[in-house]
Amino acid sequence: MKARRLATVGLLAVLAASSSACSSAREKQPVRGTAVDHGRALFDDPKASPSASNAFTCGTCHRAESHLATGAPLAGAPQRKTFWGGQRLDLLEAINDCRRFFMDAPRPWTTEDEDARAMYAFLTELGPVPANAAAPFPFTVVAPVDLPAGDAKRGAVVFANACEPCHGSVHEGGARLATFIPRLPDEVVKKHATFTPSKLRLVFIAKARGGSFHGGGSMPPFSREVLSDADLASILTYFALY
Amino acid sequence: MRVWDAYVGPAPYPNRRPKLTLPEGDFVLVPNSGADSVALTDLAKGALVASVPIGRDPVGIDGPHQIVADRARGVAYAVLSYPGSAENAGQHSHGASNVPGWVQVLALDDLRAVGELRVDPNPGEIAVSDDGQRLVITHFDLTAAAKADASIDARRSTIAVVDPKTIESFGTPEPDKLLVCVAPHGLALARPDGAKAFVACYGEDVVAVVDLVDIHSPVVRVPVASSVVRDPPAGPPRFGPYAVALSPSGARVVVSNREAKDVRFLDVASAKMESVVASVGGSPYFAAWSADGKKVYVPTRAQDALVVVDASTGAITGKRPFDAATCAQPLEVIVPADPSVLFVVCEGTAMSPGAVLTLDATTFETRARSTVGLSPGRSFLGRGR
Repeated sequence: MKARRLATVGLLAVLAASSSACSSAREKQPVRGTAVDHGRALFDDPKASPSASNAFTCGTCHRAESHLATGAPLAGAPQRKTFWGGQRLDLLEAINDCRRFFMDAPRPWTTEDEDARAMYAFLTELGPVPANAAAPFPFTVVAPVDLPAGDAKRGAVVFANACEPCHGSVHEGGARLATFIPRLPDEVVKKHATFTPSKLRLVFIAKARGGSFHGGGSMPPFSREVLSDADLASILTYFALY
Repeated sequence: MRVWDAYVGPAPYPNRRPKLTLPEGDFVLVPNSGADSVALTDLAKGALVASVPIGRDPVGIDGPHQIVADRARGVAYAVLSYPGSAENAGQHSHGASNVPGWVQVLALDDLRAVGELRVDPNPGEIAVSDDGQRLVITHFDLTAAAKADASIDARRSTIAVVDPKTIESFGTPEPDKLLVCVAPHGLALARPDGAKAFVACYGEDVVAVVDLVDIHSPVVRVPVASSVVRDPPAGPPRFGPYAVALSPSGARVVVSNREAKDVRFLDVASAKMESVVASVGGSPYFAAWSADGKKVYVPTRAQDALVVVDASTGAITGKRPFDAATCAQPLEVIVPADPSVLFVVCEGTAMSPGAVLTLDATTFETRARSTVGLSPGRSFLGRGR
């Protein structure tokens, strides 16, 4: 029995060694890719910012098919004349805004950075704005004002699409993107325990509308075009904040 | 391990910004501190030519407070004075912010950012020397000024002194900072090399004369009136010097005292205040000298007006009151090469945009009015070529 077990262990060791040899051979064989492939990989890689604290990828905000994305559609981006609701006139500057404000990038890309060039290749590959798309993606920043109560059932649906991909499941924060991202609504409510309900709602509204531009953090803001006031109010109602 | 091919193709990120064609005649670049943009106004036509977004923050208010330019280098310098929190977003900081300010270097051909420099919170004024070698920024820190139990030095704040050539596109090292006085705001530099800075010290009722060649020289603080107490305790200033302007000859500095509602004059050679005082009715802001140095044009608030002061006697020789529709909250007067006109930048209100007025220099009647953006700050006059 013991001898058989030893033989089995030996066989496993040989297999492991051979598997390790194969994988190290594979590792030594570099996988080549085009600049477009490079840009595509960067799009889904938090390493688009070298910051250790970054949890976001470009896709976190710009992958519209998976959730309610705060970011604009990227097809046709290299041809667009303005970004960020008209406040930016350069694509690279607009990208660097994302990297700085949401991804904690310590320095901006320049046109000489290979990553920036690869991202340009990828964005160009996406093609022009689809013919049936609405013309320039608007980005209206909304001043935080209190909202009348909405529909809690609708709020649950909107929460799942707009908040859960980053904040995780309601109350528990299950599967949230990073531990520094607060569980909603509990951690925010606890932090502002002395606030009146209306003031507390304003905290959520200001954060949803201003994101990291309202008091720091790394959250991207929801423009009115992406998240209507009615849907935002429904989320707050789902949170039982009225 | 992944190996990526290098990008080969047309130059990435081509510059698609519209070119800014500067008018042949006089023009102004107006920073709109409530809209994070710069307006280019053709003064000959009295018309807005372009409005270009600027700033480091694409969503929040950057508060461009003033813009100056060095046309020889082809750049402008915009000072960004951030509000302290989102609660007061919409207004540039007026001294109470804790958010660092920035200077953006903008290429004059399209106003793209080509450099940036972090300064202290509440940058007030910025000036570039005529030879383009010195850039100076005041820090209008009213929070420090109000520290009741602090020493006078603890209530004073700094000016930043920068060699513009050292400003990088990213990561520019901290500039030299000189502790000057309590709440320094208005600023003028000696011509042509900016060897001295004249600083209006709102919280200390003095004009500071700062040697920028030997930055270790003691700052000379000249009280704006003989009744000014040296090293005053914290509290509202009696005179509130807020703005200064150097005469065309460089021999005199006119000082606008916002609280005393008068303008006074500093003799540069002796570094002493002259006896000439002009009570201008309202709170004076950024005045301008006539080309011959005989008159000073003073914008005032409450009452909103343009007041003309004889610079040798202090007598009021002209006045043009403004109604709110014409010019709410006059900010500064600009004297162009054309002696037949004057320009007044009107700040407007929080809800209505500002404007640049073209006035007849003799009758002060309005010849043109060009709307700019929200809360315009101090502007750069580009003279026609």
